Amino acid sequence: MSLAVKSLSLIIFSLSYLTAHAEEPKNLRILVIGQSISSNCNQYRFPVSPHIDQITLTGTEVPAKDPMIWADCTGGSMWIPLGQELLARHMAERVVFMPIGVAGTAIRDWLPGGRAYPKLQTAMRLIRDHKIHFDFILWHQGSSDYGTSPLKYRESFLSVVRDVRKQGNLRGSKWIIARHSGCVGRFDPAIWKVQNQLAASDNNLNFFTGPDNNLLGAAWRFDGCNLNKAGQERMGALWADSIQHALARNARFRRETLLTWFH
Amino acid sequence: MHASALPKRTYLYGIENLRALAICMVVLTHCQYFVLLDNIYARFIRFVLSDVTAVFLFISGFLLHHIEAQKFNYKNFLAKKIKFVFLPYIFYMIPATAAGLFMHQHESYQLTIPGYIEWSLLVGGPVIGPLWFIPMIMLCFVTVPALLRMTRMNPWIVGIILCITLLVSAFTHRPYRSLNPFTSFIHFFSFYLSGIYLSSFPKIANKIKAHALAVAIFSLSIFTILAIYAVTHHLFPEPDDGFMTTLGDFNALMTGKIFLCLALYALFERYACVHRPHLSHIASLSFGIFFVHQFFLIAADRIATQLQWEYTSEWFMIELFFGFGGSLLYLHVAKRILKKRSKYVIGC
Repeated sequence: MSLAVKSLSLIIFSLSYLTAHAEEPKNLRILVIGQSISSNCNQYRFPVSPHIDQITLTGTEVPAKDPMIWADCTGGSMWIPLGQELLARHMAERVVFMPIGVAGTAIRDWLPGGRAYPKLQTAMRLIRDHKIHFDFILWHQGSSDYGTSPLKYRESFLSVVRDVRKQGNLRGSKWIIARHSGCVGRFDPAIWKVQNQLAASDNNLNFFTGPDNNLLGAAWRFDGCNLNKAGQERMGALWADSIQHALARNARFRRETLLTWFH
Repeated sequence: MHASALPKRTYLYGIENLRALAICMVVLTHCQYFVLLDNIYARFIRFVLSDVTAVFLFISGFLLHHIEAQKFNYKNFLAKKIKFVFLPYIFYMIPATAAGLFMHQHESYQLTIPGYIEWSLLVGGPVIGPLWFIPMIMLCFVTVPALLRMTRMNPWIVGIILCITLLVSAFTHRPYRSLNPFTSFIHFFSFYLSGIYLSSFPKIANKIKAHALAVAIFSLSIFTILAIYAVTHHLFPEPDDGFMTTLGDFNALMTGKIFLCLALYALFERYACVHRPHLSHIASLSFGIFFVHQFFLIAADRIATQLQWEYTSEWFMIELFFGFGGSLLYLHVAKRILKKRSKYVIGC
């Protein structure tokens, strides 16, 4: 019965879906906020790769290479591998990154008074002044919040979101929330759970589920926490999966809620 | 047939009292407390309270037939609904849509300002959740002539049609955030038809009333089994996967609501069909409470966030006070000011 109902309804509703299709962006712009793994604190430095760029401190776009300009540390990131995945999957013709991560930051550090907040403000000012639009904001943070109250983490995260939307004028950007609540040998299940809940509270429009960094064991890391080259590439692929999933869910959401009928 | 020869309509105290209970459940289901309290008991309570809008649809269908069937005039019927349903909807959509624009929601939805306004009016908008109900019920009103004609058919045939629609409800889910009146209509229609059915065929309704206790025990047993199964197997709360993606998937919540609705109808019609002034008062304001309670709950939530309150049972009491008490106070004040015009503006 299930298959028959599905088939019949697909025929009946196909008309309303004829005008809609998954929107494949030509250029994907991605902002990254988080701590060490989201920054340049990983092992391998990826060189320049075609059609993958980054935003400079003055708002211009240059070919991306590790270490990325805005982010902490002097090692490598997962963003060149992510860019390569997105291009290989034809999800974009060009990918532009702006990772602004700060190593070792707890979520409170991204709020007013926190040590990462001045950097956040500077970045948001530049984004707003240059009218830079980001398709996605990747959030990769949590291991420094081991023991933080989940409710506190939730409220703090939403506060960061509000700040970024307001200061950077980034209300149309989709957030992808990675599950990252510790390093090898020590994970906080409560933080992992609240990260899942934050994504699941929406998962269609604004917040989406990101990769589960907790699942990467010691073989993917070089210092027990930050990633080795294989780990960087693996996370790049996982992030690409998450972005692909987010785009598909958002397209379905827009069709079903009749957003595609309006401009 | 002369008006005086028409059978006198009885006042449906059972339905009225059920309406009062249903609106209380609607307010409860929108309290953040149960959403954020993530344990098995909270999930069970949410299973009981969720989708209780279906009971409202049942009541609406029942009252539609009870009041309108004898001398139905479609033009007058639609005019009444535009005056007392659509106009209050527009009244509440104005501040809701304005708030959405103030919060730049149109950017989140990737719409222009005019596009956001048009879309919000069509689907009930994303700011005040319960307003999705109005575009959907307007679609139900459009179908009324056909439904009333159907009630003159053989009850067995209507019963079969009803069973088909109940199966549709049991194997569909709400559209994403209820933001599609057409698929919401498909999903919830069976409850509207159920109300019409029981009002149309009093022999069947009387049998249910005569065996109310047995019907209630049976229905509540099925409901409880479904609730326990859904909650313990993590089928509830369900992810918001929309109507099309989940088409054909069994909906334990909705199936449970079918049985809960039947049990409540039986019990109220048999044991609670007397005038209760307080319940009658709440029932008379139910439409107004439905429109306005979410505004007060959102205000309460904002205050809690600003004051950094934790979601404790004391906080739940404050939510109830705001959501229910605030709504009642607002409606009383509005009725005093607007007098006879109140139904056009606040729905009651």
